[in-house]
Amino acid sequence: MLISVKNYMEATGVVPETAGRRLKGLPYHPGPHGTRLYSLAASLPTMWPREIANGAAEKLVRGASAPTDSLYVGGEGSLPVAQKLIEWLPERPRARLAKVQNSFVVSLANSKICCPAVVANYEILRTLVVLQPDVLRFIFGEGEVVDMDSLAAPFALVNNSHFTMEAA
Amino acid sequence: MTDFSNFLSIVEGSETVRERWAAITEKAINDARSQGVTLEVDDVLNIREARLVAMGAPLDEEAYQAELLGLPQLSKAQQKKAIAEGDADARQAALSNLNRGQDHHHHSHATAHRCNRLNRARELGIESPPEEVDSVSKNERLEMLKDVSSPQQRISLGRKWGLIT
Repeated sequence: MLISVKNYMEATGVVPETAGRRLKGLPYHPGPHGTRLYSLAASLPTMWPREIANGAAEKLVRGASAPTDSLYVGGEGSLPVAQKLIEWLPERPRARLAKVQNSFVVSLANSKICCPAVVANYEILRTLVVLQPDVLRFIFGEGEVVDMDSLAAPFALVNNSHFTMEAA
Repeated sequence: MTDFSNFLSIVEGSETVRERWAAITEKAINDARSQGVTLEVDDVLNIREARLVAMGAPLDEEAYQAELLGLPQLSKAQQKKAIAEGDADARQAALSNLNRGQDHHHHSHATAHRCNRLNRARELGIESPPEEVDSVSKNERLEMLKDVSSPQQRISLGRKWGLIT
């Protein structure tokens, strides 16, 4: 999911300079009219505790635009983003994510693709699942409960690859 | 269909024949049910051996079974079973039967005929090609999928290989 600097400003209430400074260095996609679109998952951890207490995270999730591909979350390059996001998560989203991750593992185990090729990477996949748009929306209370039975197997299939990095 | 009024009037006329006819009808319906097919009393009339038994002939089990399985309802069930078990010949036969003589319909009925054919194919379980025989294990396939870079292609291959629905 992607956000614009404007989304970030609206959610946190910071001035453009502050928003630019905080988002500086994050990877971005070129947006319309020369704007930059940042990854929602990477932008969230730049928020300050006071802003989070004011519901800035939820606002930012609400304002983010969903990608066309809702399954592929970017491969190994996205793993540090996912890990950083999970470390940062406030208490409520964190508890919700734990539930989502549990049902992800259970659904994966019940699926037809519960094979060594996938299970070897299950910890990485379990981490990456936080980046999936439906999951991200749900853990911030901005979306429906995720139907893991139908999501887990396709998600694992699409994101499974030859990971070289050790899972955290 | 043959007219069975003669036979039926005999059945009407004699209590012994009626009892024997009732017994053999019940047997035929039960036998058919064990194959998963429901027969009507009138269907049993088509079994020559059953009619003979009602008249007092001893039951020739072999001929009776052959005729029973030859009834349209049962032969369809048999065919369906053979296809489900992966009999390639039965599948081929059913397919060519399905596609036979399809060119003579009036074009205004084309859609109806297509629907009809598809329905018949569904009944027999031949609407889609048979699942590939798994020469490559699921795990190897999943390993292979890791090398497919396009997410869309991964999904479609995964579907094709029956890994996901």
